[in-house]
Amino acid sequence: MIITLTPPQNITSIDVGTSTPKLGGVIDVSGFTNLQEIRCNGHDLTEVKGYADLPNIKKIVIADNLLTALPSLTGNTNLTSVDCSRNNISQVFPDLSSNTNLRVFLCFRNQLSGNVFDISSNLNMNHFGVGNNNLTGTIPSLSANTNLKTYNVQQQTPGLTGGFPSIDNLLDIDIVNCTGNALSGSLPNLSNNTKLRIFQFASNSFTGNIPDLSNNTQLQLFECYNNNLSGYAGGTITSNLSTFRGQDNILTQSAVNSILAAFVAAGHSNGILNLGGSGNATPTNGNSNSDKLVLEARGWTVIVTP
Amino acid sequence: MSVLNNADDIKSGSSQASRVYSAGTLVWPTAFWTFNDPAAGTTISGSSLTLSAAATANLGDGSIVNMTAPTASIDHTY
Repeated sequence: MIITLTPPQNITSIDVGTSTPKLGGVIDVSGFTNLQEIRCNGHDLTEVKGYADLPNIKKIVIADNLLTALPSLTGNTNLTSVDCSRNNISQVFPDLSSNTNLRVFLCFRNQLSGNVFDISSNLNMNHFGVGNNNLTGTIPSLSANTNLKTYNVQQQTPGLTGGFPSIDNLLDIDIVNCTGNALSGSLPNLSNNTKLRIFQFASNSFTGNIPDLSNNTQLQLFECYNNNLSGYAGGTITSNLSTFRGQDNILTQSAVNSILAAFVAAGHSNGILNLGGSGNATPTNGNSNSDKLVLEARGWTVIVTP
Repeated sequence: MSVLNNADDIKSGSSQASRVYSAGTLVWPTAFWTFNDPAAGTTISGSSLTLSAAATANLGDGSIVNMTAPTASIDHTY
């Protein structure tokens, strides 16, 4: 069966809504020369085509289908947003260098391969999410991406390597997630990232110290479990930080004691602080550590190596 | 063989043509969405189109939606 829309040049945006049961099939927007937005997520589509050279297209939402490829986006110079997450896209990372207006690029849960794309040309990028793919190599510099708010490269198979680049220039960064890779070196300095809410660097091979979080007053979630971190740089803990998962590292007793004390000094109630697992040292007096007991009296769940 | 360039008001006899096929392939208007014949009761809901001028949606089962600017829907039950 075929749906036609005529004349196509009179149509500037299309949201095909929801089909129940899902209709599947192929959508073709070639000829829709004035199209600015196409939204056709969640239909089990096997192909969405014809948008590759549409000059006016700004937003493409094709997530949650059965797509196996992403057509070239190099002709879509006005493009601001792409969401092609949760398909079966199996190809090298698309070239986004000509999409200089791009603010959102989401391609979670596909089979993208090759290196993470260098977004240093995409100076307007706000949200970059390519978690759960098959990307390899190192993470390019992010120093030019001063408008970046979220950056997610989590759970690549077999895993990104090398260090995590500096985020000193990312003053608006809100969420950073690189959990589940093979990254190494130090955790980044976070002293400039005062808007940071969520920091997820778990299950890598990071070494050195947990950074000073004194300036991260918006921080709510900090995850660095399952690394090789040994120390804590010190400083204060924000009262917004209610979940801290640092288990399965090689934290010294001094570091564990200092983290417990910092959370006590923060003075807030009800949270999760996990410094247990294998590898971390036992705090002074183990499960009877006085700071641990203070936190538990405030409603915290505190786990340490006994 | 005749060639239609910039064809307008295509008719078969006195009847206005709504589609033109070549060797079984739809060549006009271009298919927007092609899918297997849906089960009876299949719905499209929550759709929304923005138009700069009037347009027509042919939903494939004989249903025609005359869409007027600025917004229209192709919600339908097959």
